[in-house]
Amino acid sequence: MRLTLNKTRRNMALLLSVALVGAVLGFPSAATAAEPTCTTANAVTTCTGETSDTAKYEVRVPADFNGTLLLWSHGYTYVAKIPAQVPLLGGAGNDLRPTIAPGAPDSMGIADSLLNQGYALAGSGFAVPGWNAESAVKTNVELLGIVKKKFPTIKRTVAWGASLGGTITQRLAETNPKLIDAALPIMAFNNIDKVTGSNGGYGTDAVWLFKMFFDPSIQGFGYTAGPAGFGQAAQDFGKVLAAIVAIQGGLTKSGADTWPATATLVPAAVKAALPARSALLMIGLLSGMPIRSASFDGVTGTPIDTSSVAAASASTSAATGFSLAVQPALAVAENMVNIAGFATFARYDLESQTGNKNFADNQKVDYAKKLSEEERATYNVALSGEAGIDGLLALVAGFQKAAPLKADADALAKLQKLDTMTGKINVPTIAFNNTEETVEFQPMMAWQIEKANAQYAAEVAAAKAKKKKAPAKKFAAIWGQPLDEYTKFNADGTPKVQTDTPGTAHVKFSFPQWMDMVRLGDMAARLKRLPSDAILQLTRESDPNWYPADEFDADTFESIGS
Amino acid sequence: MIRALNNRIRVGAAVAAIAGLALSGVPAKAADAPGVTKDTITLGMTSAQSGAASPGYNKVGPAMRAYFDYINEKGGVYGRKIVLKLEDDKYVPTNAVNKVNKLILRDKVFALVGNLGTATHTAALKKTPIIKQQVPDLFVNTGYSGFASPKKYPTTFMYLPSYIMEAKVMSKYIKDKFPGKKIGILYQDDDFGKDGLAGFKAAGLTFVAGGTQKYASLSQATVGLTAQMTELKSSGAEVIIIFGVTSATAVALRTAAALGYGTTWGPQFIMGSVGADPTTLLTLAGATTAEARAATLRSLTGALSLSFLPAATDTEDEYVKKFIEINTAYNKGVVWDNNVLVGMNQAMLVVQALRAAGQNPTRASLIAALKSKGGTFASAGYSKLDSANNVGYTGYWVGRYNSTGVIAPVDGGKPVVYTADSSTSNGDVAVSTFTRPAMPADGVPTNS
Repeated sequence: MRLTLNKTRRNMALLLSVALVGAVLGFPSAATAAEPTCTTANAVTTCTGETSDTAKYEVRVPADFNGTLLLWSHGYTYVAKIPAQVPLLGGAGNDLRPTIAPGAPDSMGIADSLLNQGYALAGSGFAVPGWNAESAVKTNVELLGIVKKKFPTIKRTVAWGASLGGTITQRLAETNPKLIDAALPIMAFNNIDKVTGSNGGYGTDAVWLFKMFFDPSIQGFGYTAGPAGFGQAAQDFGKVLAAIVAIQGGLTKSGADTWPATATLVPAAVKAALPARSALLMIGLLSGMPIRSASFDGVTGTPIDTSSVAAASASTSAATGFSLAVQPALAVAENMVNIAGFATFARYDLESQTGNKNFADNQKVDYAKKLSEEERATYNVALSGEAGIDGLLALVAGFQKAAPLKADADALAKLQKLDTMTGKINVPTIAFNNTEETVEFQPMMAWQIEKANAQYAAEVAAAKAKKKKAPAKKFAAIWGQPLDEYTKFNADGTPKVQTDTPGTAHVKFSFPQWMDMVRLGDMAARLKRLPSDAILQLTRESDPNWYPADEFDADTFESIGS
Repeated sequence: MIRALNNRIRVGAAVAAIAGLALSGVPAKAADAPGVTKDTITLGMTSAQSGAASPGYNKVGPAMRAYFDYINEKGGVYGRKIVLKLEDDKYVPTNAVNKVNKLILRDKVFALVGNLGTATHTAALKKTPIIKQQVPDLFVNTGYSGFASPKKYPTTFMYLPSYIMEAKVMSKYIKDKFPGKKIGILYQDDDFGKDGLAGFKAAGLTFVAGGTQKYASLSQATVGLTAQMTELKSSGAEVIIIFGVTSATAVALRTAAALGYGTTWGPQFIMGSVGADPTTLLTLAGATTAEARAATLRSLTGALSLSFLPAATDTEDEYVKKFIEINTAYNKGVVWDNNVLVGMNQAMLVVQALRAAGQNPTRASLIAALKSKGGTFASAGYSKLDSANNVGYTGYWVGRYNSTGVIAPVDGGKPVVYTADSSTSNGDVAVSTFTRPAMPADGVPTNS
């Protein structure tokens, strides 16, 4: 959640070059422990304090408390304050303020609504920023002890959290199931190694391919230890944005295409024959990125001019061309911006935790195989036909031969030890994700679903062997998906930038969807089992953005070749 | 829950409405299948109803619906009326996924019929539950041979002969009638074109140096085909194959005229079946300028094309004759052409498949019926429908356009139909001995 970009700064037009060198970086300093203090105002009792690891927490309990405590775990926060001059992300990071609900503490709409409904809310800011899954679980365990002691009227606890907070929630349920009654892991980040480590992966492929195609001066991997490395990550983020702006600028205005001047590894003959947008889309497809984004649905064409038959004919052709050739690349551009922060600043964090060496390796990745036959057909136009596809893949093969990523073995081993989420289901659990989520992409929840289904099948088999009744199912998953068409255009025909499209981007859910989650989690906690299929189905059917997980054929790590 | 309740109300009302009627052939109970109620069978289709690729192809779905309306008036299929939900995918694969998902998951259709386009349907098969829910996927409107793969796509059945078959037949004709001539080709640089090239290769047809030209799908709309047609002219190709969609064929013919076709340049054009409907070609050109229409007609005159159905202008044909009647009455205002013929004929096949699936059809029984009986269905096709192997029609005849854009068999009289398979290990082509079943009385199938 904390990784989400500041929407007021999202206008792509602002993504021009920035001066980043020499920025003063705000790293965290040690905090001191504090005793909880409580006050009551407006029929809500609010307690604040610190756990023994110095993490700050907050608890709010309404006077008409319904007995259910919602323990929220916030998402990833960068390990240091990002310099103010960095576009989109400037000022973000090192945010250890306690967070009791999605959007809090900056936006209290969801929190206030839940309090009005009688729920008690609790959440920590955690003791350290960055990747902190295991320490955050310990913090939450201590926090739950404090809260339950302070408020003995708590009858049940639902743990919920998004992004890294989803991971923390799931790990809490895996390691301390007796402390909670239900879990809602939302977009839980898992399989760090498959995403960034030993065999390329989403976060590695996206950055490495982008670097090779568009700007080889992007460092991307093996950042220097300490503040200097954070500065390198900031510079990389700026370079990614600059290259995207160069490509995107022409595309959004006229569909024209520009290779950025920094694309020095791509031969001039290739640049003359193939548009940059095709290379950008190839990066998205080979890395497993969603090909729809907050602004681009992959469908809607540019407006049709109906002023005359000839104008209608020409604009209809242009509209179809935009849908097929341009939309996918624009979606990748937008999604690349969304994940670039994670791919640079979070990599710096992970490298800091694993010995300040590069842990990414793509020597054995077969990039050509990562492009499925179906993708070749679906995006044939956008990739400039079969000849374009083969040409781009040949270029990638050349890049890989010339400059493969080689992991430091020790760093890789340490990275794999951070990969702690097992997917084991111990309490009633309902997982959520969006089909076009940009950080915790589809394979992550698909993996959870596979693990949970396998566990349940084994439990049923074991019960059958003992001639016992099959156990109740404890896991369900629901996808959020965008509507089919949502791309909008300005009066001058350029696409409108949108940021809050449900089902797309990072941790984007509508207000009713957040409420649905809590309702289902509360029901599961009360019942000590999943709400019935009928209730789950009703939830899905009540919102056109919910999508039944059992009928959605999501990408898996296997299907995308990770 | 809400949806189930509504269904109960609707079914209850339907039962009450027909309670007093004595209907022979009315099913005793509602079938246990999605999309099938006691009084309806709901089918779904996706097609390009708008957008640059839609001209011509957007007439197929409404033509199917018109034939279903005709059958519904005649009592439907065992008393059930056919409802066709037609979704516009705009020829955009991502949108085809959205629309097929809608049809299967929200509209709960019994089967998909006539989904149109290679890339669009490839995407749908990958990212929708067609396979997982074993949704019958009948008579896809594309010649991409990859769809006739019972192992990969067990519920998908083709309608068109494959592009490989078409290329083989075309190759034989060229070798027989234009021996020693230099051959050139313009093809779409995707699965459509790749399939065709595989067929030409299997048949041993070779192209003159510089005579193999391609275009990225839909690029003809924005960048045109001048570069490719100029290269073909320079190559000295005497026979030029245009293996593209209708909108590309139209641009190619117009460009040929601009390059001197009919005056200083006179190659023999041979066009693939999916890009050769003359009504659409001339309409597309006419949307630009009257001069463009005239230029297209000039290039079209004398061109050859392959067809698997009778010419839409062959009003002596019993199928064409009946379908024209139905089009006039049930598809009001729509100009009769090859696309309408394709849709009506397809709908007639669907009706026979539904009947063969039994009085209480299931998805499994529909697929089984098509596998076992599809080859016996009455239709306008001049070659066997090889549904037993998930293949569509298996043959083509060769025709030539006259100066008004009407196509007729090259040798006069009845068309000679050539048949082939989709194997790329041989280029075998034979004259078909298939005897077409007669049109069912009044155009209403009674098979079981």
